[in-house]
Amino acid sequence: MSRIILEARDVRYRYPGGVHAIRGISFHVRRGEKVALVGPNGAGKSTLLLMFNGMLRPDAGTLLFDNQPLRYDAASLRELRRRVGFVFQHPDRQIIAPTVYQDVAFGPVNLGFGTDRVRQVVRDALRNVGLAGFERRPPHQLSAGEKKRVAIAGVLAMDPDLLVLDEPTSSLDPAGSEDTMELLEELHQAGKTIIISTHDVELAYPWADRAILLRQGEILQEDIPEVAFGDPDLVRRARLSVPVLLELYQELARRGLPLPEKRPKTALDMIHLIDQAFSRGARTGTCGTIHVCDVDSTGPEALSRWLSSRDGLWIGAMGTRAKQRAAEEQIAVDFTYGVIDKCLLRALGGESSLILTAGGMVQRVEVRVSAFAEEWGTPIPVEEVKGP
Amino acid sequence: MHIMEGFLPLEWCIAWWVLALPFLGWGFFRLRRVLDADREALPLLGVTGAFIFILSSLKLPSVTGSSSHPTGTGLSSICFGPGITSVVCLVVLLFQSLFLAHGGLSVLGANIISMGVVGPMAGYLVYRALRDSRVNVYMTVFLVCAVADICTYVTTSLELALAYPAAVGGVATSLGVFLGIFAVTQVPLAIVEGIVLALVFKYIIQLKPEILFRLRIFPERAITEARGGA
Amino acid sequence: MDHGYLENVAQENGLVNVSPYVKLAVGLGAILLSLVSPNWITPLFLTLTLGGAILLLARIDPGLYARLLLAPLSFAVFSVTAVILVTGGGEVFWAWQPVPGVALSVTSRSVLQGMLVFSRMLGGMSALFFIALTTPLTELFMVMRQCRFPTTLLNLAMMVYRSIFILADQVDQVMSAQRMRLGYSSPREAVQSFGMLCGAAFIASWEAGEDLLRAMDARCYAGRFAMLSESQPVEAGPLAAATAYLLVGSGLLLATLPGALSWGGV
Repeated sequence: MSRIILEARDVRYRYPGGVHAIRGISFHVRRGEKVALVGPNGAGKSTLLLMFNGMLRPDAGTLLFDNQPLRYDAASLRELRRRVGFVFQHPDRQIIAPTVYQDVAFGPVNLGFGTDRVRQVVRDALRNVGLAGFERRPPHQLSAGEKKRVAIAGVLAMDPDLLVLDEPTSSLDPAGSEDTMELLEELHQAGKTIIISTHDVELAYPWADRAILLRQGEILQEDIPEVAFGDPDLVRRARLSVPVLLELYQELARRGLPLPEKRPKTALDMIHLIDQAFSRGARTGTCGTIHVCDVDSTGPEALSRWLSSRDGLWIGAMGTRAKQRAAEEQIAVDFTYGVIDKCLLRALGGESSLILTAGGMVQRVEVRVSAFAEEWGTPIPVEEVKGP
Repeated sequence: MHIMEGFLPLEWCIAWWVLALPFLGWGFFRLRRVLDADREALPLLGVTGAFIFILSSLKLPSVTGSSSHPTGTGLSSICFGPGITSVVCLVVLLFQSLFLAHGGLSVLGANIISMGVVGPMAGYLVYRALRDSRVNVYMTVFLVCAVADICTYVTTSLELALAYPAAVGGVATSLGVFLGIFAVTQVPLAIVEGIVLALVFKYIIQLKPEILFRLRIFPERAITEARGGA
Repeated sequence: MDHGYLENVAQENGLVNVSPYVKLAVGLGAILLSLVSPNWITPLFLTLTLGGAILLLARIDPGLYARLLLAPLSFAVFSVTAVILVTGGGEVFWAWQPVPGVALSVTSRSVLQGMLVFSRMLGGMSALFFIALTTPLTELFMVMRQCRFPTTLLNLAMMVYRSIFILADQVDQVMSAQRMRLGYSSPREAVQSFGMLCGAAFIASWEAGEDLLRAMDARCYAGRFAMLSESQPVEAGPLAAATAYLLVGSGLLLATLPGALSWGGV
């Protein structure tokens, strides 16, 4: 298994009408990366994405998946599309079947899985996107966010290595948007490589490992988001804007304030930066504690017992299973997105919190908190809630 | 025009179902051939069937004040030919009875004969006669749809007359009565649907003639003429 | 967005967890009884009981049901009038010869015949409503597959089902926009707007078809569609109730056959 999962070498494409959509693009994506293709409408983002699963064929140049050049015979395309899961922009145009189950099962059935295996993968996929129990529902009764999750489940059921999403949040309201990005984060934690296209700079900036700025079929810039979005002239040429936090950072730097090297990506980063810049000095008072609870291994009685013995806690639910548990047990949740950061902010202010999460994300909390402690020099205690 | 559930006596329900089966069988056979040759046809058939259903659920602007709905039979015969139309009609009729309560299940056979077999066949004959002639595209579409609708209405009236023959004059008199009673709604419907579908084609020709080229409904020169002229 | 389709009502009705086979048995059985009945008694019984089941068991909104009952009204009025005019026999109340050779009349027998036909229609439509309002089509697909309906036909029906909802939203939007611009204010304008609406809908269908095909290809379409794995199981309670109901209906039918009783029969 090579490190590079997808590579483009001087790819060019012209639409039959004559429009040059892609004019010599080269880049690569490593396994496990989160890459955002950013650019205005007409930059060629969708066109480029459609080449990754063989729906469009470049006029010149090569595309390689897992170090093999793409082949366009029927069998190779099927294999490619199994390993590269494509989620279109409008979920309505991607949902084919009369019920959720039948739609998510579409891929596996056409790949030739047996009935039992189909049932298994569909159940797993729906569980992973937080739609367990939705099997018999007809898609037209679902909200836009739910439809998007059905579309994602449909490709997850085929167990792809690479997920490609065209404008994943375009038709969603802010809550749906948050849910989708969090789902993508979960999938990334599970080992998937993810490529999205977007024109929403604020979406790409905190999320991506690398951002590729496209304009009129060419790559303007390709780097970590702090650098890619950091040059105002370049960003303007790409008909985008500088992310707000980055702009704040640049303004503060211009005013000569002492700033760390690391650009802020979240509100937490920004608060800490402001604290340091305005020399609020050493923290007075103790920090709050962050409690972590694994919903998979803690029963409802243990949890409610634990909760009732504590007061004034902030509660965050991270991940789809945690949110479902919170809804089932009617636990009032304060944060559902950017949970760790928000709890860290509260902890800095001396307030304690509880993070409900599941599986591998428990460890992620500990890792993130200790990374924060190391970077900013402020240790924050983390305690795990244990119970039957 | 749909016959409603429960209206036909049992023996006639069965008779019309039996008569419809060979047509459905042939249509199904043609459908399989088309799909085997071009599997892309399935989503296309699906959306066109959906379009016909939705068309039939809309209320036509009507002079008489009563609500009429387009049948879509003429359009279907142009797009698919009479064979596959009978099968698409079966699906559409099923949806109409279950989504909109138009028509019925026991009378489905009778409705297929009138709306899925006779009407489309008549429309198709007109279409074939006029397609390569000098008559312009819009007039052709108008005539095809109007004729299909009129033939559907006549067939439905015949089905009713056969089930309820007159005491004096038999089926003939009964037919005359049914024809007369429904003429009030069905004749304007046929004319309006013809006009509407002609407008639909005008709209498509202006905006997306590629569809018509792809479906190979009319010869290219006819479409270009219509485009230039309109 | 509702569009007024009964399917949406059926998805959430009170009897949604009953096996579709039981519901179909009741509905189709009632249609059959209605058609076979020689008088208006059994169809009336079916109309009333099925109406009750729809309102009380399936918990359908009474306003909706009332509107549904009125829907076939114009067809009913026209057709039943024709039947009354055309049938003969018995005492003549009114005769009319609109055209020489065509003798129309309203007689005692023709009125009874008209009543019979009307009641059969009521009974049949009630049964149809029962099926349409209690059994979502998604369940019926399952039944059709189990009854060995041809797969090609079923796949077509499922594609039509999904496409209807994709299109219906767009058609609604166009129509609202037209109404807001007073596109239906005069007959001539109405026809023009309607034509444009249908044209836009046709193009939308076409584009939806292309999009769906692309989406199918992206998920390795090889000609197969998945089916729902299980339908609701047949339970003893509903099965017993349905059987009892049909037996009562049949019994009523037999009891009111001509010869068994000398009233109410034609």
